[in-house]
Formats: sequence, C-alpha cells, structure tokens
Amino acid sequence: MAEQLEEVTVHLTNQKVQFTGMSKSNPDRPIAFDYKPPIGDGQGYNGLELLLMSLSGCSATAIAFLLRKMGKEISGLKVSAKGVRRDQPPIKFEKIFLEFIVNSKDTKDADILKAIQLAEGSVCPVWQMVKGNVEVKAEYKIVAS
Amino acid sequence: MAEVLEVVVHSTDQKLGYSGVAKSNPPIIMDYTPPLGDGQGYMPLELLLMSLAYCSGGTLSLLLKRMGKSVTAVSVNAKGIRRDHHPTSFTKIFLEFSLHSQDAGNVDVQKAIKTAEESVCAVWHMLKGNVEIVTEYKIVAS
Repeated sequence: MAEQLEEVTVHLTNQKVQFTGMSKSNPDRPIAFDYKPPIGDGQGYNGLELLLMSLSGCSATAIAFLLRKMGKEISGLKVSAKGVRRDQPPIKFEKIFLEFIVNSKDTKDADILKAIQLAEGSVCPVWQMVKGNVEVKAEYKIVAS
Repeated sequence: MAEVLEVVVHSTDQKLGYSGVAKSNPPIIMDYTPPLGDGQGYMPLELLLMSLAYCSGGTLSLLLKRMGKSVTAVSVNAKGIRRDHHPTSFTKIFLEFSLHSQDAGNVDVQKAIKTAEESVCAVWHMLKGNVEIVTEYKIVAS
C-alpha cells in the first residue's frame, strides 16, 4: 500500500514556551505558538486551538468536497468550532462543537446530514483520529445564497 | 471550571481554500493539494501534526525546567504516515525532540516525555488509541 508522509517542525523561540512551526510544503507561512501567561506570553496559538483548527479545516474540506460530488453548488462554507477543556489532568477537550454554515441554493437537510455522516465516518481523517477520546457534536445551517 | 476555546474557519475560494483564526492571532491559510485544491496553504493534517509537536515540545521544556534543568533550545520534528485511502488518517506519528541542555540527562528527558504523554499534553491524549506515536530524542550539550 502506498503511504504518504507529512512532516512539520516546531522550534522554541524564547526562554518561555513560544515556538514557531512550519511544514515542508509551507516554508513561507510560519505559525507562532504560545501559551497564556504566566507560563507563556499569549503571543500565538496554543496547541488545542490548532487542533480545533485542524478538525474544522478537515471537516469543512470533506463536507464541501462531498456536497459538490453530490452535484450541489456550494458558494461558501464557514465552521465555528468550540472546544470545552477539562481543567484537571489529563487536560483535554471533553467536547467539541462544530457548527457548519453552508451557503448553497440547492443543498437540503438530507444532503448535509449525509455529508456530515460520511465526513465523520470515513472521509475526514482528523475526525477519525480523535474518535473515542472526545465527543464531537455537529450542527449546521443552510443559507440560500 | 472548564474553559472554552474557539476557532472560526471560512472558505476563501471556490475550491478548498480556507482561512482560520483564533483570538487575535494572524489567520492560518489552509488548502488541499491539486487537483482538489491549489496547494496554497496548510493541509489540516499538517496542522494536527503541528498541534501535537507544539503541545509535546512545550510540555517537555516546561517539565524539564520544573525539574531544575536548563533548556536553551528545543526543536520537534513530527512526521505522520498517512493511509492512502479513506480514512486517510495517520497510522503512525514520529516525534523527534532535539533538546539543548547542559544538565538534562536521559532519565530526566524520558521521565518528562512519559509525563507529557500520560497527563500533561492534551493533544497527545486526544489521539491516544487511534494513532501510534513513537518518540525519539537527542540531547545537545550547549
């Protein structure tokens, strides 16, 4: 089976916990990471925000792709993701809420429900990788435009 | 009390370009490889690797400092091996830590990695059981 390799590097940039990260395919788009004070200075994304971003981007990509494959017109797609974090170790999200706002003239409830189900079931790899460890709830809204 | 973190991601073109943001940080540009996208941004899977690399690297440096060790530089290289059909998730992630320290020994680093994995690094926890994560480290005396 052919496999693909993705690679990223992060490195420390101050004497606290600020890091800069980039990937091989995006050397000109560094991402700044930091933790909130007093541990860090809050000058960047924290790891959990980036996890939310990764899940949002992945699920949005999957849903747009699936709806277009079903012959639907998608003129815009927005995802708001909220993660509820435990404050006791192990620190992690207990619950993630994903809200998809789809701009489409011809997408119906049944179409988007099917797309969300497929994204969750197999098409969105990030969703697969958090399965069983976090409860992910999806909601949607269709805007006819 | 639980804390809520929030990000918003919106489409930027008629293919698979997205832009995402949290708090007042600069937006992150996402895209998918051609022909589905234009390859002009991060793939969500790269962001997942980066999230894990930062979470584990930051935790490691913090834990070592708490153990009274000096840490002058840290870099984390993360590689993810992806399945080529759906779900195209990672089957394995390799994390390679490179630590610059004059006084951290193997035992210290191994202990810090174990603590990060078991309780402190939140992203690691959320991948547990679903992806095999293999760690390596190198201590550079400087």
